[in-house]
Amino acid sequence: MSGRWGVFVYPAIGLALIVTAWHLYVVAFKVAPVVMPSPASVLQSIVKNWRLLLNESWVTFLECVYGFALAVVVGIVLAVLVSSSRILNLMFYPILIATQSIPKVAIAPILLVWFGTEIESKVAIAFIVAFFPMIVDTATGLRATPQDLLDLARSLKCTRWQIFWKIQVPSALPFIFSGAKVAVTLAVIGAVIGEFVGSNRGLGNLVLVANASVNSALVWASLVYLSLLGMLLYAAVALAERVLMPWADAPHA
Amino acid sequence: MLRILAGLTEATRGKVEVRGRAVTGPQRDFGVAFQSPTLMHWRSVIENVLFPMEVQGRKDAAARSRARGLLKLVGLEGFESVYPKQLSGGMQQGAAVCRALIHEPALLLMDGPFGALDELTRMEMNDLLLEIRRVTKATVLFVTHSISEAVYLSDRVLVFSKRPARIALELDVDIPYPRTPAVRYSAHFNEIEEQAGVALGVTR
Repeated sequence: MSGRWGVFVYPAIGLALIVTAWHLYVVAFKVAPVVMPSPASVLQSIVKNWRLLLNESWVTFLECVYGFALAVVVGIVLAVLVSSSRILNLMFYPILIATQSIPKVAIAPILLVWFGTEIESKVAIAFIVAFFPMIVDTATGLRATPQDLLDLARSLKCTRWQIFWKIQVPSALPFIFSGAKVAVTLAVIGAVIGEFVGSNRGLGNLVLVANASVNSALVWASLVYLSLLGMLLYAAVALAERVLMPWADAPHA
Repeated sequence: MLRILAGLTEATRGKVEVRGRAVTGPQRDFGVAFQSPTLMHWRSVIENVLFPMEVQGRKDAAARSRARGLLKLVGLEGFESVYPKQLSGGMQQGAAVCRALIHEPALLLMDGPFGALDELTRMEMNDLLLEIRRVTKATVLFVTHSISEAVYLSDRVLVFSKRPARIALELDVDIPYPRTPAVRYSAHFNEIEEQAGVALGVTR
């Protein structure tokens, strides 16, 4: 088994092994369902509560997407500003790095006060968590333009604008996408933090509610959905990368 | 020196004049080929070649057909739409030379563009450059560390001494065209090579 199908089959076998081990462990040691539900009961819960899980997923999905989209736009714009002006860079970049030492969970209650318990506060937290890798990676990418390409641009008398759009941006794209991949997974974490701190909707909230009512199968089912949500968002970014950077896939000479 | 000629580096002393016109910055009627191919890996070969025309807002059908013609000249016909990384080093350098020529520059500045190629490819590229010069009639200023490359390609060779670099010798190469690889082994060719070698201090 190699080549195309291997990338699907082997992970599936790995997953099957882990689920089997989980099942045998729960059965053999008679683990209480509250402590660890069996794979079967989690699956049962997923099937039984599919409408609830989908509804709550949709809420969390929107929080993630809005927060991530904001992080991409604001992160790229600010990265362009700090990488094009030395003064702006010196004024704000160190402060930006310094603010990263603040644990985002600690900011969440403040954002809740500012934005309320509706979707806005979750979007804000998802944005704050996802924003940092976006700006740092984009700024790094914009500053990493190969010198020989800049020489070429100068020898052709490119305008500042042409250098930016035709040379700096395309050569920064791999950096921007690696930032976006980190950002999109962080956005999911941010949204869940927001729901934990104050919300009555979303998958994070469902985890809390199910946990409080000792429905651990539903807690685990929510976790499965959260991980599916994270994978879906990551796959969307990876797909965008393939579409926007077709040269990256071309085989070497 | 080539960077000064190209207007990329400012001269500390002296000045550059081309046809009585002082050169203080990059010129649109110059073409520059760098040491490395300096291709944009996100553009196809032909889009790389067309880049100077795009910058000048003249990427029209005429430019496209000229690009195809140049690529054909360097043996890259059929490779127009592949990405640079799918080409070998010599082919990449060939594409870079096409790009330097696409806007029909009066002066082509080449900063040792074949230095990183293997000997065989380098000799092929030399013949290619002679052919390009014959077809385009451009003036070429070529920097190289290879004596034989300098003699083979040139009408006139300026030999630079070691640091501090001074012009140690000015040589006129009177080998007739068309030049073929066979000429590299002629007595006259070797004689000119030796003169350059003596001026460089590598031959006594």
